[in-house]
Amino acid sequence: MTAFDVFNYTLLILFALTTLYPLWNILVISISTDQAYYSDWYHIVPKSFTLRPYLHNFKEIRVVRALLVSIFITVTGTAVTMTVTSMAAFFLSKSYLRLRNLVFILFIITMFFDGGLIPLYILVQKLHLRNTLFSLFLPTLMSMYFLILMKNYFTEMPVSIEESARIDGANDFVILFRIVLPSAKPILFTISLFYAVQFWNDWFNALLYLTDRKLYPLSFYLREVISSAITEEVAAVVDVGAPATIQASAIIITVLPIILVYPFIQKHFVKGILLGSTKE
Amino acid sequence: MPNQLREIRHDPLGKHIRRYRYLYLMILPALAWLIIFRYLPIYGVTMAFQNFSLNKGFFGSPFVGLKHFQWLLSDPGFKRAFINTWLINVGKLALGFTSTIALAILINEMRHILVKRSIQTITYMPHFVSWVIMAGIFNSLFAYETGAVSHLLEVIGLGKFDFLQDNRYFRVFVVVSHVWKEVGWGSIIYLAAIAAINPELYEAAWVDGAGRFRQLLYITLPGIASTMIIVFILNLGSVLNWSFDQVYNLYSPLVYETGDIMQTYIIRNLSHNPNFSRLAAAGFIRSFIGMTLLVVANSLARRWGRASIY
Amino acid sequence: MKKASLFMLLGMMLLPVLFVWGGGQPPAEEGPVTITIYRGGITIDPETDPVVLELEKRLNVDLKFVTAPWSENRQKVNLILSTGDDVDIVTTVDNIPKWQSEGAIIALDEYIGEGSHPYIYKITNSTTFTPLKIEGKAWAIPQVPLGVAWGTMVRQDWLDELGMDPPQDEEQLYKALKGFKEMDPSGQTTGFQFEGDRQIRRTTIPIMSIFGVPSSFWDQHVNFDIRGGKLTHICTMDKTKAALKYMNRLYNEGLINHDFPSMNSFPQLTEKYIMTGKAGMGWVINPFTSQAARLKEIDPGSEVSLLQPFSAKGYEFRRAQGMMVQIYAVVTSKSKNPAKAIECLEYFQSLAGRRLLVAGVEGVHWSSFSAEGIFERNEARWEQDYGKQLYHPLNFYLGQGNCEGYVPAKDYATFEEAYANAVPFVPASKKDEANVRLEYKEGAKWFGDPNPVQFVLFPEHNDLENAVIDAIVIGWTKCIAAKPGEFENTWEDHQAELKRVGLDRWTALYQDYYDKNIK
Repeated sequence: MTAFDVFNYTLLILFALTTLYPLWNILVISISTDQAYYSDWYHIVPKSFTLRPYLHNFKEIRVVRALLVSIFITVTGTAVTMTVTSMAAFFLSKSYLRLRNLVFILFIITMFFDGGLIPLYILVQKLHLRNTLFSLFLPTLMSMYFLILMKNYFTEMPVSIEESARIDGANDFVILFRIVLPSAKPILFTISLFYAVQFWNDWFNALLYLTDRKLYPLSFYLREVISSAITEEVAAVVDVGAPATIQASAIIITVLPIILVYPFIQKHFVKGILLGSTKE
Repeated sequence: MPNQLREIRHDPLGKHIRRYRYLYLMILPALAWLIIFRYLPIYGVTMAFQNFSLNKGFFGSPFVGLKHFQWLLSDPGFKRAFINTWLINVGKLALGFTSTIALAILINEMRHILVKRSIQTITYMPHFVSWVIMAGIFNSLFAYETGAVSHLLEVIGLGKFDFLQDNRYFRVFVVVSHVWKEVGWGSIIYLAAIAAINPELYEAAWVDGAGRFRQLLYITLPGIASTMIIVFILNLGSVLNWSFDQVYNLYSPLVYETGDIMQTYIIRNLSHNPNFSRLAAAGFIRSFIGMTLLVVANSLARRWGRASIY
Repeated sequence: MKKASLFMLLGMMLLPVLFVWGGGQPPAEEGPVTITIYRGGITIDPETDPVVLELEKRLNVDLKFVTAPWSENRQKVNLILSTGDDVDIVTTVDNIPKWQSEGAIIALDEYIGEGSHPYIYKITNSTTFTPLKIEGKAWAIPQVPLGVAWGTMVRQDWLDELGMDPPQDEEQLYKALKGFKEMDPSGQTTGFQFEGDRQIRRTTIPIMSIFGVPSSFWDQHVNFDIRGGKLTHICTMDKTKAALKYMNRLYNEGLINHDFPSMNSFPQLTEKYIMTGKAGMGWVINPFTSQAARLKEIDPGSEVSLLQPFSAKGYEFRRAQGMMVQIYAVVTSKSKNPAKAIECLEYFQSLAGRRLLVAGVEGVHWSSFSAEGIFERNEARWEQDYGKQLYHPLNFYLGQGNCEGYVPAKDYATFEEAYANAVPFVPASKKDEANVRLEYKEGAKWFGDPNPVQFVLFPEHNDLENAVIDAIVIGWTKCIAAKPGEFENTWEDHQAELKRVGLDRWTALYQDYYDKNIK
């Protein structure tokens, strides 16, 4: 342990404590009774314990359905988009393809110019995708930002990886899925994580395209629950308990899966460096 | 061998596509999606150049050319908002860029696996708390009279700052609080890039006697250089679009002078009298400038030779 | 591997094709017409809800609902009306001139008759709402709450502890607030909870009223003091200056929450200050007896009472003006059954319809209604179906907004008379708890003077309107939050800014209208 290490650990731990505060604050609120919530100003030390806010979110069987919907669109959406994005990124990383630059420019233009909500809405309507689960992930399937990050990663990878496979006669699909992607685990998991988080948290598509409440994803369902708990007119005559506790529990429910999944992805980040540093 | 190469280079287009047919097949789904969901609706951009009326639709609304742009560019409120948007967002770009890289490197330097992983996880947590909630938390913490942070600053002798209501501090507060919130999540991409560096390079350097700092300078930084450049250019392209949620939830009439950005300005006026065309024109201005920034930055990057978007 | 991936690709590309082909029109059915209603925040299940099923039976329709969470309400409404969605009735719309000029909504006149649609006919032709007519036709049904259930609440238990009587002038008010603040050693308590941003218009009503300024719940930019036919905008009045100066004094002593400029959500504000016991007074816009009950659960020692109107020394108390309505129900131009849709809307306002929507199904949820609107509720069944809710959830904005009662349009010649004789519905068991009638009477002490130009709009002057609104909100915020000694300068700046954005022109527009149509 050098002086630098001491400094580093101290700095990072202090920083982490500050970033921990908001979510900790929210966690404490989510398990507070009304009384404890209203009498505490900072919510750092839990003064009570109740699961009532969580139960309020789960009191309808609809929430299970909403959860299933969210899981479906997150898994399917991420799987579909990762396939499409990685194929496209692979294509875009090959400079010997004559049409590559043209296609690339087509992609980049859409980063800046889009027709807005109304034409997209009309399109989804015409495609009869309204009020379907597909409308929850198809319209926003790809992100140019992630595509470019992935393409950059492929460009940086040494060609040698592919060459031996090509000499053996493998086609590009085999090369991409059997060789390149397995070696690109860090970027693969990172972009998948980014996409998954996006799909899990998105509620805007639901707002736009869904009329059937049975198809609400969890994020939108929770939004509805919170909304009805804090709307002026409704809050006056409905007894739901402190709205903040319900809101807090909804946030925890939404964030929890991501925190649980992340450690599995972290494993793949550490590999690269650990090998070079154990000889301290 | 040379003959073969010459053949490949001078393939007519059809033959070229057939030669690389699998690759061209690979781009089809993405291209199909792009055309359907991004290009089919793109006629909507014309809204900025019309007096858009839903009745008449996109093809019947009268064409007014640059009228909305002229209105926006001559409106003092919009001009002030434009400047604020620049100052705040470029500040975020600069501070954010350096902080995310620094954080990734510092986390990477930790040896203790458990602590390292926990710190990684904890630092990205604020990213998931929306600005609506965070604003509430900040209002409590940084309140002038009653906030915990205000008390703390007083106790250590720095004095009192009205961060949220004083035009001198508001912008800085916006920039720093944003970076604090996002630095953890933003460092993930760099951690992934560091993980991709060939570990043998580190071994070789260690054998040659290079210490940690030299390893950082000559292996890590060059190793993630392309990611840094790409991320920076991409961010530059979208820089004018940032900050809406944050500013909307944090600002107040007292700090409109320094804190009002283009989107909050337009929204305020919109909520009373929706003028779709004007909103579209403002968005168009942001997009146009963003695209120009990206193209210029990319050209510079190409000249430098390290990495570029295209 | 090769073949498999090729097939997968083709499969993925065929998906959209399948969707374009699929989805034909179901065969046309005979029977009840389908009416689709947009209403925000629907939490019931329309398929099984007894009230909805009963409505469908009585009206011979198939009711479908489209909804969005309240937080996204406005966005969804804009979307539905902008894209011509398949919705017949849209509630909670505002900015009617815009939708009318876009052709998104239809004129109601050809469908309504005084005999067949007493409520809609009377309300759209009432003198209050005549300014809303465009091209001489009615395009929207205003959704009026039953009465005004607001006022300034005060912590009676704190007053008792301080040994003070309810304030009778501004100095006593100041003393009370100061007392509240000093009661809390942590210094976190403020005296009066304040909302800022554009809500500053309603939060300031109590103070404005005691200084004699005719302020309003809704738009400050249409607030004029009308004397002898002359309109003066309240922002230029000396009384307003005195009121703002007083508020500035309160602010600088920490008696108004310091974060008010960015507090623009009443529920958040109340949760943060009144419910936590960090404020002793505040302008409350909900039935305050329910809030008081909630507060009592949290803090059993709390007692809430309503401030009675008083005046500042040398001033005369003036009620806030206007009618609390700014949202409307419309029938879209895409509707296939406008006549039926309007019939439904009229039914929602009728006596039978109101009883159904507010109290539930006769014989199931309630058994009898008295003339004063008190009804015997089947508590067990109600609790089973709707838990602790006081009234049926569909009541809000499906029919009158915030209206837990009935406006007897059939029995009176004008809408205004009917409205003044409205009947609030109260379940017998809650007769004293949620004393709705009392609340309305108390609230009417603070709000309700008529504002003849409230609904007059000038769509051609949108930019002027925006500039005026901005100037008022910014000016008032700055005046209240002015640093000690800075008030005079800030007020002068505010006046200069009002001149610069064109308040004179704005006032002239209304003066013109007043001279031509009202005098």
